[in-house]
Amino acid sequence: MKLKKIFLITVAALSIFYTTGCWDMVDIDRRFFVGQIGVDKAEDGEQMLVSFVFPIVRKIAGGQGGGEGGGGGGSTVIAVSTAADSIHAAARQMAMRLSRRLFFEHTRVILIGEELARDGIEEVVNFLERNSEINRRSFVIIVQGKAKDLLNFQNEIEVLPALYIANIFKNRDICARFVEVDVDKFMREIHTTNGNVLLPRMTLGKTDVKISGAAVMKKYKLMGWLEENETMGANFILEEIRGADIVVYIPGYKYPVVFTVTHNKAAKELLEAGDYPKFRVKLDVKGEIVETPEQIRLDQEMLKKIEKLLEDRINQIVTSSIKKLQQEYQVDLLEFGVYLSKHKPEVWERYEKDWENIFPDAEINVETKVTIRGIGASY
Amino acid sequence: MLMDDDRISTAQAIALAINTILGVGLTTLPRELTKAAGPDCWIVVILGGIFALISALIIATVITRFNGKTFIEYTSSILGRPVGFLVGVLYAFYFVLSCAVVLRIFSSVIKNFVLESTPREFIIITLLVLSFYLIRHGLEPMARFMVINTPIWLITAVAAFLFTFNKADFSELLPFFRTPPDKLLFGSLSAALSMAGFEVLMVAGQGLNTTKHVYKIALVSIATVTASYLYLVVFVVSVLGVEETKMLLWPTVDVLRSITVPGGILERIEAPLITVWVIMVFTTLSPYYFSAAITIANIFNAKEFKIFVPLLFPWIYFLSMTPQNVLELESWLKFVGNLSIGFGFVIPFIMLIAGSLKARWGKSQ
Repeated sequence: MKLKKIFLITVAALSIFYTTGCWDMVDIDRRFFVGQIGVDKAEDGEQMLVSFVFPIVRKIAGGQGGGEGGGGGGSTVIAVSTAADSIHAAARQMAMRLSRRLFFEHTRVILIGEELARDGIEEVVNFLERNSEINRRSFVIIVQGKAKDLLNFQNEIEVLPALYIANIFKNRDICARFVEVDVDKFMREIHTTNGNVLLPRMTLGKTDVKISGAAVMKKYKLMGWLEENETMGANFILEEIRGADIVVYIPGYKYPVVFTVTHNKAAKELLEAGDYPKFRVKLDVKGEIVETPEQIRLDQEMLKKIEKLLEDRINQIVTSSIKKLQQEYQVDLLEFGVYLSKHKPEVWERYEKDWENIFPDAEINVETKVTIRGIGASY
Repeated sequence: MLMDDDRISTAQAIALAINTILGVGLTTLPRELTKAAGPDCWIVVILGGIFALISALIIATVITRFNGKTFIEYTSSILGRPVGFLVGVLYAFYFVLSCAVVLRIFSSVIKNFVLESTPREFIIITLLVLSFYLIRHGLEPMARFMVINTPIWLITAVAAFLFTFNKADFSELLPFFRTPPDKLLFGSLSAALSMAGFEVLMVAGQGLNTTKHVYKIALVSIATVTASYLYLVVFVVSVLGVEETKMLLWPTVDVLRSITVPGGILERIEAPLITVWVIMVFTTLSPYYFSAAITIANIFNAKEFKIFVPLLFPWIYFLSMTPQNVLELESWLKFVGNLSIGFGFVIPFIMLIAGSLKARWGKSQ
């Protein structure tokens, strides 16, 4: 009986230890939730200039009912930067300057400055992969210019700039002039192709930002850019189009016909496998007409004519994109190598080693078939 | 030895086997298989399942011959007392080592993804104490826990991976059959190794209500495990891609980290998913721990196995703290995997042959 009592008292005393809660607890008011990470080359050319942007929760929460009010309170976020040898080192250096800890679990955007990207982004890749805290759904973007300058742009539309940028990617279902890459996809592609990947490009406006076109990464290094139309062409081949507008002019009319793509299929096919491969890409594009010159009325004949014009236009867009990648950048970002390795493994074995040099001379024919499925509410 | 009323039914035995096999291997399996066979990893799972089934059937046959004896008694009766003793010691050692490796992998994943600054000792001891508590009550309560637990992880896991459907690119599993046969075979072996755990029934077999349905237990549990692994590997590889899967230490966890429930209702749901996985690790650890204790009890012909549970505790703990880092742990894991060929296949096979010979010899006498 006495033993039991002693036992119970011991258990009760020990409960002090296991009811204190989590060992790793950091209270929410001791955390800064980093929304954006910016990585640049530092001025000295050696180190990295790493920036973190995080919201001031007090200001966001105070918007309603609170005494301060959100509107006139100035910026809702704080951007801090530091030069360091690595991203992780930068986050730790911040510990000397910030009253709270940085947390990356809710990071939405990772911005890489142009200059750093031209030198190579292996270190960023390694950080993203080894770090088990970073949000694998955050977007990876190459900034034309310095990532740091982009971090504290201000406007009234969204409370948080990180959300503003992340939400732009949601518009991909109506616009195909940029690419969308999150950490997951970034890792997958960069390891499959050994450093070749298309990343979205971002530029700074006066009070906003613009994501347009794509950055061409070859062997972890930034080689150059794809302009908006060229990016759309690449998206056609990659089957990445969820919505895109094509503009064509019917001869004799000043106002264009605007066509919205709703469905897009791209079928790659290997025709010949000589010294250099010969491909055919069949694009099956479906969509609807949203604008026409007021003077014309649509009938079957007219639709046929417009379809023909659209096919030529899409062919032209796609071909110019292929040309640029083949001739200027000489890098296969259109997954022709991936297609071969998956579907024609015996051919791929032959090309694999020297694919970098073979791809630029590969012959790629594009055949587009456009079907108009809708013409809006008038004819 | 088990208490007389500490008996489990066939369904409970199936749950026990499945829950024992599925555990820490879930986090690393896709990496091992893609390293071995690239895009053919799913074929390797099926082949591995066949291997595992063969060894499970051998174990099942041995169990049917127990005739109310314990594992050690049976071994002694066919191979002689010293051999029986030796086999018992080896099995006990194997189970203890398995416990240690399971615990260590568990603590590595937890430390990396969830509790970064919690001491490893603490993570290991809490799980071990919990397991200690469960198995002290015997085989039947443990099996009952497995039965309750099974639908929880099954539903969660199936649902969780379905949310990755829009990210999955199943063409990552192309091309088919491009792996050379020797690599395919080697990969199947490592897949079969991750299905180790059925040998727990060798020692737990003495607690079966009836040995009539042992083959059914083997078939159903290995089939379920193979199906689960197949589902896992197909999704993980299609989401991450072959090359990325090869590079990550715990590819499954990384897939879980990228799951979003559509509509933006829930983001970052990996914490509850990892919790479910913790329970699965717990249900792998407990049977091994239990088996180690009962094997030793059988060696000493003890009436009660409970006293051996605390005796094993420090050994498991110290062994699990021995590896210095993840890479060393990997080599331990390989070692235990290779041991499981011996304990899950070779020794049962010898016992099968010896038992048959003895039976025939006995008849001709």
